[in-house]
Amino acid sequence: MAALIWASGIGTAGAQAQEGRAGAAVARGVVTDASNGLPLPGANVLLRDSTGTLRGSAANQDGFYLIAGLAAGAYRLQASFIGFETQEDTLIVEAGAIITRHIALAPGATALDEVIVGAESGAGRMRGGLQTVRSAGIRRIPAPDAGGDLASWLQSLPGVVALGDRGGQLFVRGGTPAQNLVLMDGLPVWQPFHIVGFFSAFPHDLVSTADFYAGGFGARYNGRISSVVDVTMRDGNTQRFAAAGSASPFLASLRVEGPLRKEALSFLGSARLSVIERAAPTFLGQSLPLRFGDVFLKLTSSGGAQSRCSLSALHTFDRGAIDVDQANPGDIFRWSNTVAGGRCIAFPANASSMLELVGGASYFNNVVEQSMRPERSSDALEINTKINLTAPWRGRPLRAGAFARANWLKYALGEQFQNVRAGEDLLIAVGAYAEMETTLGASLSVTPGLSATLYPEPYKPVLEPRLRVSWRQRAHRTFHGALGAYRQTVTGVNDERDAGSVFTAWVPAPVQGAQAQAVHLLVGVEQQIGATLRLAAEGYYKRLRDIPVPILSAIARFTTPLTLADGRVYGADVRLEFQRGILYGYAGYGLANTSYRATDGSFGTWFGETIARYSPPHDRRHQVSVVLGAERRKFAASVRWQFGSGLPFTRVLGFDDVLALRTLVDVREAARRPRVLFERPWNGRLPAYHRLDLSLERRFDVAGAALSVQAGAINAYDRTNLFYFDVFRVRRVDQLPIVPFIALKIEWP
Amino acid sequence: MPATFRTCLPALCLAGGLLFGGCAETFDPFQETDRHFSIYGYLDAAADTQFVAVAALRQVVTPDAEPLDAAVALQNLETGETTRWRDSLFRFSNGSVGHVFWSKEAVQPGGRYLFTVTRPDGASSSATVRMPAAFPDPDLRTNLIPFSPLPPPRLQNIGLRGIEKLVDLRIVYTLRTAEGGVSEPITLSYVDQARPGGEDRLALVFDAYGDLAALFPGSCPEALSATVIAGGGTSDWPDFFRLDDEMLADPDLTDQVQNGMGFLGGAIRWERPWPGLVALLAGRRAQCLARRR
Repeated sequence: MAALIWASGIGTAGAQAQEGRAGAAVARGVVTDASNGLPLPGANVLLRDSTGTLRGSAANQDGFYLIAGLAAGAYRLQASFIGFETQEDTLIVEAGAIITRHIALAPGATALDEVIVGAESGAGRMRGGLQTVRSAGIRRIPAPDAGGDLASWLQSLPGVVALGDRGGQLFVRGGTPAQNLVLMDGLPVWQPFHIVGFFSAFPHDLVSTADFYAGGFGARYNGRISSVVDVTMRDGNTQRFAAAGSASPFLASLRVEGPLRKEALSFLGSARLSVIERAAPTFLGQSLPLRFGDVFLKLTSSGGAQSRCSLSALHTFDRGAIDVDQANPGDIFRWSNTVAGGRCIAFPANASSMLELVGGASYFNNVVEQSMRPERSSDALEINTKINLTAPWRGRPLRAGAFARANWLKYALGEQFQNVRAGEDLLIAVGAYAEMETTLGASLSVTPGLSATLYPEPYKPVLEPRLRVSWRQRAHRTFHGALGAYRQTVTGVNDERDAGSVFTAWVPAPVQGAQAQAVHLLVGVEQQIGATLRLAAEGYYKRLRDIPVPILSAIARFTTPLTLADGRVYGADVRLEFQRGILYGYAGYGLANTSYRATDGSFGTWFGETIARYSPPHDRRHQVSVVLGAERRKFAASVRWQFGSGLPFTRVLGFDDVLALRTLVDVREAARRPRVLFERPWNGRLPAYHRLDLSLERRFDVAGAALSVQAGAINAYDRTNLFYFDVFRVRRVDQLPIVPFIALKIEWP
Repeated sequence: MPATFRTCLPALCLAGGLLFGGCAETFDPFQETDRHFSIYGYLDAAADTQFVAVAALRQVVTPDAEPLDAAVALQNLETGETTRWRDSLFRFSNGSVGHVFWSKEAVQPGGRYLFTVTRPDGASSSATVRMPAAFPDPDLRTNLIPFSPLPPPRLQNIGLRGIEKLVDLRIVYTLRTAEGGVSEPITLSYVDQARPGGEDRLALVFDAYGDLAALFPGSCPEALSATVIAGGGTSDWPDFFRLDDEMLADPDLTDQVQNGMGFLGGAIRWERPWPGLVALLAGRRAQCLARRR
């Protein structure tokens, strides 16, 4: 660790020296909400010199902005953010100066007639696989809980596939759930999505901002090969105490926050507990024995002008059966996450850099049991520390960092996977990354990056080059691209043959020590159409290598060896976003094609023929999502319709009985074992899936508190959407029927 | 909230329901197949009655107890003669039921037969069965020298000749129980231990008492009877005895049944009591008891 800090010190000094040579000045600081002291990610800070030339920066997830390469002189500083009063000031810059200017914006209306720089959220924004969302954006997607949730928001995006409304498994552009990296305040969360698919550990009112990379992510993220969800939880109110409570047929929640030392130290605490198990018989007319909940606490110290630190802790738990057949209960799944850690950002007084230090531990436990007896289990602990540096280098921000992480993995899988049964591993990795955004001309931005990770034997060291490109062709049209190589050593293994299984065992590269690999290529365009429409389109191609998958056969068998697959994913996402006055709309279409190919020629055999290629069960080809919302005075209404073409499944030829002829047994006395015979794996397609969700909300002021009453329905036209078919019980397992709900939420003040 | 929208909301729901809810797609998880029946068993040239298990490929896990709607026939491909078989329904100890078709018609060593199961609509599954040639009685040797003062020999031999493929070799014992009664039959299989012993010969060398005593560690079992069963099949028999339950269920194991699943082999089953072995085992037991004292 000391070595890492030393290395970052060198980086800071080096960057400082470069700035000094250039004689250019730097302006930096944090933009906050004046009403509660919370950072404002995405706020725009512009400096206009006497000639009218603009330089600007968008605040990052901590509200931090950095404008480098300033010549000496007087500048007009303008800070703005949607929903806040624009603030203007004069900034006198001396040669080589490092100016720290924190900005507090007051809530109010903002006229958007000025140039807006950089990151802005919204469905119509997609920049090389990246989409940023803030609390209000998450809330636009109706979830049955008097608010929004990141899980529901993610599922509204084309390219994100959920097999059903239970299980909490999200597949992003052909990747599997275990290939997604989810970070909370920089700390990994192994499985943050709850067993009821509308919910995660990230309700809208706890999230400050979330960066979702569907692919093409930069060098500062590593260890996963599909996607990144980087969530920054918001801080507690530094000005006054506040509390909120809510109840719905799915969840009850309580949130408290406030200053422990005014404007210096704040806390935010939240506890949520599912009630669907008790409410389902009334609201659904059927039992739904699913339990989940989470507890979150964050302490933030924001008093110092040069630093800001926070401690975050999260615990989640989930328990239930995906098939809720009361008469014949199947596997019960349990999982829990415990995450605790801290994060500090500092602006050294004599350096123009921003330093971020993150450290913590993430523990995950996953068990599948039958009749309360654990049958398979997996424990994963990651202790993680990293240091990130943002510093100007020749007038451009250089981001570099170093990390060390230790993964302790323990698993007992019975005989499910014949080459991964039980074991315990400790895997320590150290690495570093660097990326720098450079501009070529006035409109082309290129961000090359490189990540390097060292693993102990027998795993290979990993070098992952990344490139992100942005070309603003016209004022309202920008092209984006990303290209990168990705590797994953700590691998989540699950049985993709069983759609009803959400058990994931974390193991180090389970087949021949081969690390899973991916190459992403993304090309897209964003286009503003008039004042109200924004179009974003992106095509992508991913090559996958050494993905562990189960061997397939024509019979249903619990045990199977794992083998390696290569994969190919290609597709496109198109989104159209509309915003005018009180109306908001969004339509998205996703086209995708995912196929796996056997690296050694065969995944298994099917009646003597080799199985060389197949479409995995998450290969959803077409996906449509439409969201319409309106908000006026105390009313808000939202409609969401989603469609997904059928997922692959394996047809059944039929059942027969097998006799063991190990000896010349008398067939009149020999017992038989029933057998199910499958057609070629995943050759069939389930019916298409579609669902309409409605919500209507009315807010009341009640004795100084804000009361929200939300009424709505999930699956409003009661479509019978098939989740999966259990061939052994010859029983279809459907997704939720129409779920009418009423949710209440009260907030003080 | 504009009043117009509130008015429209129920209408939207209704329209959605009519548009989408009413067009629920049917879902059939089953794929049509030209595999109709599974057939398991063997034709035994040494038996006076033949039994073959037949099951229809069905769409539920548990077989029903209704008569199988199929005609089963065996045709002698040498003579063209065809015999119709009869159906019997058996319920097994594990609760499952199964159909076994049977016939009193003898089958000949070295013959070729066509076994056919036909549905009323004409769909059929069939298996061509080649019968092995007859083989001489196995040579059973305890190596016990009568009236010898020497201790009974540890190893015994079984010699087999003229068997194209050995598909069964086992000894079935009954033992005296602790209460003085007769135990359930105990089977020890040696089919995977017979080794080539010259041209057209197989030999098994085994320690009968050692194998038996290994089943009852800490005691000296007393054998009351011993019966040897040997089976000769044809070269197309898979090595079933090497396979676990999952491998046995693998449909790729054999393609011997046309338009169906399973395996129907040709075999000759030979079975004899082996009183000499019981005598030898008594001597070995006495040794065992003496050691324990």
